[in-house]
Amino acid sequence: MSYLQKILVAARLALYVAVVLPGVSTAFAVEIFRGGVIELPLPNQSPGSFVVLQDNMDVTAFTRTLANHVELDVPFPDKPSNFEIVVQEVTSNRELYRQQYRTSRSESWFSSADTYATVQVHATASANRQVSSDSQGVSTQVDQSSSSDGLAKASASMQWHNVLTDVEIEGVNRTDPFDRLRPDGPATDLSALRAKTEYVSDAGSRVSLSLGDTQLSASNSLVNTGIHTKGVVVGIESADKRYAVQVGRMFGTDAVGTGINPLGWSSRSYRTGLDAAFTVVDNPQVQWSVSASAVDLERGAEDSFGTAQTPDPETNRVLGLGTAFGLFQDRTRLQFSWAKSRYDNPVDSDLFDFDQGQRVFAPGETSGSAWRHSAEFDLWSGAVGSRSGYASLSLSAERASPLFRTTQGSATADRRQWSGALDFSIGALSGRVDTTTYRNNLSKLISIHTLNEQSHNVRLDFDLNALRNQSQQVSYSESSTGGYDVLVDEQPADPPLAADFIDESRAQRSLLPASIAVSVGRQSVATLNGEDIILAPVIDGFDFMDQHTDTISVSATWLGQTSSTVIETNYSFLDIDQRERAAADRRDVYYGINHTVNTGPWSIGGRFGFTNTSDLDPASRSESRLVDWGFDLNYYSPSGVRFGGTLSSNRSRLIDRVFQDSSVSDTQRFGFSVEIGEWLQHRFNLSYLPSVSGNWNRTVSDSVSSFDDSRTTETFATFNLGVNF
Amino acid sequence: MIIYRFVLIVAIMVMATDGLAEIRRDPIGVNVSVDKPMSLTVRFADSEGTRFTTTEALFCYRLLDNGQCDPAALLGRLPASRDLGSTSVPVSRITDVMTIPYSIIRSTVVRAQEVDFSDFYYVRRFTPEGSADLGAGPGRDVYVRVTCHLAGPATVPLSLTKVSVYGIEQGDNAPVRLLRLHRDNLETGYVEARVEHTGTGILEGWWEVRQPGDAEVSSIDLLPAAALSSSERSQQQAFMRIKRFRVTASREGVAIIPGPRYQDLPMGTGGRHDLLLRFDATQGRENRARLAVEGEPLNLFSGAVAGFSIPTLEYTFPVDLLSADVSVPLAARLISDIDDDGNKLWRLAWNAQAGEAVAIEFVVRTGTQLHSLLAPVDSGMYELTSQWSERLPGTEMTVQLRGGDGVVLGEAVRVRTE
Repeated sequence: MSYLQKILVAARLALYVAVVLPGVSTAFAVEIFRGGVIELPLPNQSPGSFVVLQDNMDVTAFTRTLANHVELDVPFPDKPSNFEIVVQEVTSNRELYRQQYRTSRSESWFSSADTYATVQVHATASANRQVSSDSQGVSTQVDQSSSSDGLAKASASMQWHNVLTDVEIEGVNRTDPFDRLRPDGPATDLSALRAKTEYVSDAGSRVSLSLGDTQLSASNSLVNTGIHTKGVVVGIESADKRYAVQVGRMFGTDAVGTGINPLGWSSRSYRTGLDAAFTVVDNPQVQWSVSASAVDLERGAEDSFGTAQTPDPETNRVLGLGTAFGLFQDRTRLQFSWAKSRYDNPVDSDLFDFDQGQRVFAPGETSGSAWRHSAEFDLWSGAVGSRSGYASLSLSAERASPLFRTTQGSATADRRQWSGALDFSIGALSGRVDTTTYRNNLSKLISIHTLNEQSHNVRLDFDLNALRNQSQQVSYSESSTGGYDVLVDEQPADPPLAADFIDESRAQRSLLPASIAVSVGRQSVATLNGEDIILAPVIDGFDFMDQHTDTISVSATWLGQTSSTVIETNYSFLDIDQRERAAADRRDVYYGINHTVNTGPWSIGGRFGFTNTSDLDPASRSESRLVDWGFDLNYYSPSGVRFGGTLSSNRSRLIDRVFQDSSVSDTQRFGFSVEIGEWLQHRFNLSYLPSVSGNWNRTVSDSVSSFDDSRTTETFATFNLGVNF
Repeated sequence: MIIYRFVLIVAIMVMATDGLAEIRRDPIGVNVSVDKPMSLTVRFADSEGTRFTTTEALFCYRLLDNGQCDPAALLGRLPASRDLGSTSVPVSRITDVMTIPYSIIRSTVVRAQEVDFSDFYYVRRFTPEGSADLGAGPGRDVYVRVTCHLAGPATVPLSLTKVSVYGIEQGDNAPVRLLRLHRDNLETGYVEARVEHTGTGILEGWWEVRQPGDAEVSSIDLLPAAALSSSERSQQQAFMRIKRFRVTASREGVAIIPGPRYQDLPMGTGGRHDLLLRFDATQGRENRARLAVEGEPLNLFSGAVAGFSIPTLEYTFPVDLLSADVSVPLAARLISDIDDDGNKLWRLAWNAQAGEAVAIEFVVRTGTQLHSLLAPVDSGMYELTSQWSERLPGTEMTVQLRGGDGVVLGEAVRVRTE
């Protein structure tokens, strides 16, 4: 039985369960109309003596206590939903009332509709003058171009008995293609088509059908971390949410444009997926669920829209099973996952088809399996002083065989890994201690490096701002490891009046940073099979490894109402222990400072970075110094005039200590732009935004090398003047 | 030591020429990952400046005597769509990017299970201009190879294998491929890039925006600096710089590069704007050029190379977007008090808001537990029931505005205590 057949059998089974089981529940949902008020039968209650929960959210603030009952204004009456209202007595937590409700049952089958259309026409004249010092000399080019964008958007919500339907369509037409990487791509796009119809039984069970831009969720990350593209997805969910099944047929890549079937239906490029989850036991002490996931994929060597990658035609079938436990009021969580994959690369003319008809070594379909187990423990949660704290421990183990490969899953092939982490927050101090052990080459092939790697890291964050009695505003800044770090902006507890502005105690305290982060780590890598590896006869750079890397990072952040400053330093030292290169160590140091000021219409940013890399190998002792600094200035006037200027410099110097030689590369960039678009804006019945923008860039690169006694100088200057009508 | 260094240089030069051709290459060998495709910058240059053309690049696991691939041992070829080095115009040096598809890696891993020796070769064929001699005789083609050796992830050069650029908006976290800025997503939306890579190191560069009226984005502008020669890097246009990034690429092989928030994107002129992700070349000893080529600096680095163009992210917006109202700061605060019986009471206070917000959501985290509360936004204050006393102050406390249909408005704001 093929995977596809198995998926279909599972889908039939799930559909059967979905149709039969909803009838088991006898809960009855009260219907309320849009803007409606719920009358809660709570006689003789005083305000503050009870709490009203809507799906566990406290909505007591929306109640009015009357003589014989309590009225609740549903917070979001326009949002179609099913929800549960529970009323508890505050002092005893005794339940006074519980009832299911359903909104959006309007008296008309047609609930709402919204349409929107706009056409924007842009004509651009661009004068481009390039001045270069090379043999091509000076060139001047004048371009004229025009473009138009037409956008039409429509959405509607409908309801007929227990069937809710939402449709949203957005179409765009333009004079240039959507994808710069595909100049011959379509210029008309159904950029969004979302249609979802859902049957909600009186008991609360749901069966839904989604078309167009949709998504297929995943319970097993080894199989699928989530697919978002055009396709068709059917979903089933029981009233008590104990089981849920999704079956979908999606396009093989992320798709935008009319070149793609708007429903994502293709026999050559597709992803068929199944995800089923069932909660076997659900009580406060024990929760136990099981899941099954599968993906069947076929696609050619093509990029997804907005994604570029090394192309390969692929077929991939993956089946995964998993189970999860939540114990002791979900303070202990265990998860076990397993998956098996089959993978192949069909013949593609871009990669394999040779004019000469030569033979190609192709291995055919290969298979592999993987497992991933994890455990999380909430060790402690409580209060330290006036702040809450917690500590949690997580452990995980993972193994993927050498030829395990999935196109949608997250496991990396040929790897065995254990990891543990302790996360904690105690007052103003939070941190993480983690350790990871990794090994590859699980089939112990003699011609492949077998690496044993151990990594230990400690990260501590001191939230000094929390020690002060000041308000905190969440903002987001980039982190060195990706994602977003949440920083805390400092504001005075009471905004000072002008006369109170000079406050010496506050001025003194502001010298302290708002937060300090310290991170220390050590990574050890050793080749286990060392000199047993068989290498090509003449080869360079294939080092057998036995080395440690120590890293230290410290950063401090100052945040004010209008400014922010970040000082950061990173240090790493590569300590090589292997016999032939024991002295070939390397040291890398980075110092950086970033400062930004936003005051009124002005935004000023400055940065400075210095990187020093020293190669300590006596045979090739060298030093690399990189200095990078720049300023950015922006001005937004209330009348819509914008001015932007940027100045940056990058100087790279490489010093060879053995030959006492050095080479230098200098790059300076200067540019400014002016926009007066909004200043010119006139408003009639239609929006109209003419604009004028100027942009001047100059780049100077100067490279000097005493090694070959050469000097290269390149200068580029570009001036653009664009006019939009 | 100087003598040792001299001998080493001579040895490298001898190896580089390999006795088959006068065309030198850098590097001459490389570790490749067993589970991912990868790219590598390879420089080829004729030692005498002789001009050549080259249009063929193959992968194979066995060579013939003249250095060309054994037709019976072919693994595949450099994908035509990723061939950045081929030229039909005679030149004396090229900056090539060797891109190895995963299908070739997989073939080699399977083969390694059958035989002991699993190294394979990337072979470029060079045709001299006219009757010039590239080392194999007048007018004769020469074949130059780079040896590839399967290895673990820690020993592989830093290269980009997959780059995806998208917006993230509230809701289901689905990636948005075409940005349409509007009032509902302007404050909460942000851009990020997901980068799959081989090797480890630092990914550095800029987020830039091409605005209407700017010069067109050229094919060179879309390539990472490491894929280009020194002169080509100078020709890359600089557009409006929005944000600098510096992200660690770890052994896990996936890095998320945070981009600008929607509200930080320039909206001065109408029309289509393109957000570009520009990668600088990563430095480090293993990324440094070791082939002295006339006109190219010695301190040329080529870490974080990709064999493909980095995708851009387009955004558009209605012309009246920026005329939207600016909201009053929430300044949410939690005030504690003691009642007559000595019990601690808590009040949540904030600046009343006008506009489309109808409710304020108060979220408290205690350990792994989340508790939430909803209150009308126009009241400005709400006295919490005594049930909340045991949860306050939480590990993390935020408030969030919500519109009439429950939609999230603006950013979450952390709550201070008084």
